[in-house]
Amino acid sequence: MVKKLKKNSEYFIYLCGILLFSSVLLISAEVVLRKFFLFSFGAADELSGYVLGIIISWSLTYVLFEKMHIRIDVIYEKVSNKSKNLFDVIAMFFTFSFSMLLTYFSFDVVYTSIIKNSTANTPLGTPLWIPQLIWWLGFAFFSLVVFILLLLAIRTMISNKRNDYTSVSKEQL
Amino acid sequence: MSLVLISVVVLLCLLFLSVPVASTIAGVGMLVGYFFSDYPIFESIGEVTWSASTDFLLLSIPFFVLLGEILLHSGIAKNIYFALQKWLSWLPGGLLHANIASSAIFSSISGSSVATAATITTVAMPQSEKYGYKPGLFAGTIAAGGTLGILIPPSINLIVYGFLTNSSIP
Repeated sequence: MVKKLKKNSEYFIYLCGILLFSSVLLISAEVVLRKFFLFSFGAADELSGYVLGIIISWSLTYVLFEKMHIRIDVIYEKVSNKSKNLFDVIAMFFTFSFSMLLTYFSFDVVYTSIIKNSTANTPLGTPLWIPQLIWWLGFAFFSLVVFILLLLAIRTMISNKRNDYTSVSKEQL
Repeated sequence: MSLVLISVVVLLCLLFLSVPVASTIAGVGMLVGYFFSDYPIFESIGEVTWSASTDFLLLSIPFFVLLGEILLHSGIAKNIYFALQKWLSWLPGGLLHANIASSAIFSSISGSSVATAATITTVAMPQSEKYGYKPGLFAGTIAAGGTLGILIPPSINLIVYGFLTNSSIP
């Protein structure tokens, strides 16, 4: 199950890459058009802002699996395996509470936009719930994965085996 | 006073417990906001996150990282390194100077220390075995050169600084 989630997070990161590249193309085209043809799409900055929000929330999961959420392992390296498992549980717990807070309160933003039919304050006038919903789903997916990893870390602490998904180092994977 | 003391102690405790740095900073921020501020913090988390994560200025950060990756994979970084290696070969300890100089050039292109050090390492480290340099000294020059990454603009930290203080980013 965790393996499947990891695979899925890789697919999402490819989608994020495609989005990032398309916003690169959009901005480059905008710059050239403005400079030489005095013409503008008028929405490049807004759309690429949404792209940034979406890639931030959807890439969190992949970054978690790749162990790039930076953890200070000065003490971690010096303690026994049993304490290491405890440390992993603590780290996962804090990450989980943070991600749940983000998910819960960012749902407020989406919900307000839906019931009030908010549109962006720009020429394009995007209905805000579309980008916000995609953005929120990224946080929701991240919280789901962190919850599963938290359970995994607790199971590891009880059974006292090694578990490469929640530990600090990456080499064993 | 107690605010500074409590936040620093909690911050250090959580960091040394190997809690991820992002969660630590967020946790300390919420703690301080909840106990020491009159303004409601939890109600504004969603809006603040949305408006900060869709800011057009901050989009330049992933673009800088992307630029660094493109330079690395297109082989330009390699060419810079070998050119500097030729230019600086007359100095005693030539490759070490080449490490520092190519870090300086690369850091004026890319924005982050880690990216600079990682890029130069992938190109330079095989040379140390080839020419019999002492690996510790060799890696040390790359690590020291990598810190130039955030010093020479454009760098990510300066973009964040400009974003926070509303100063113009050339």
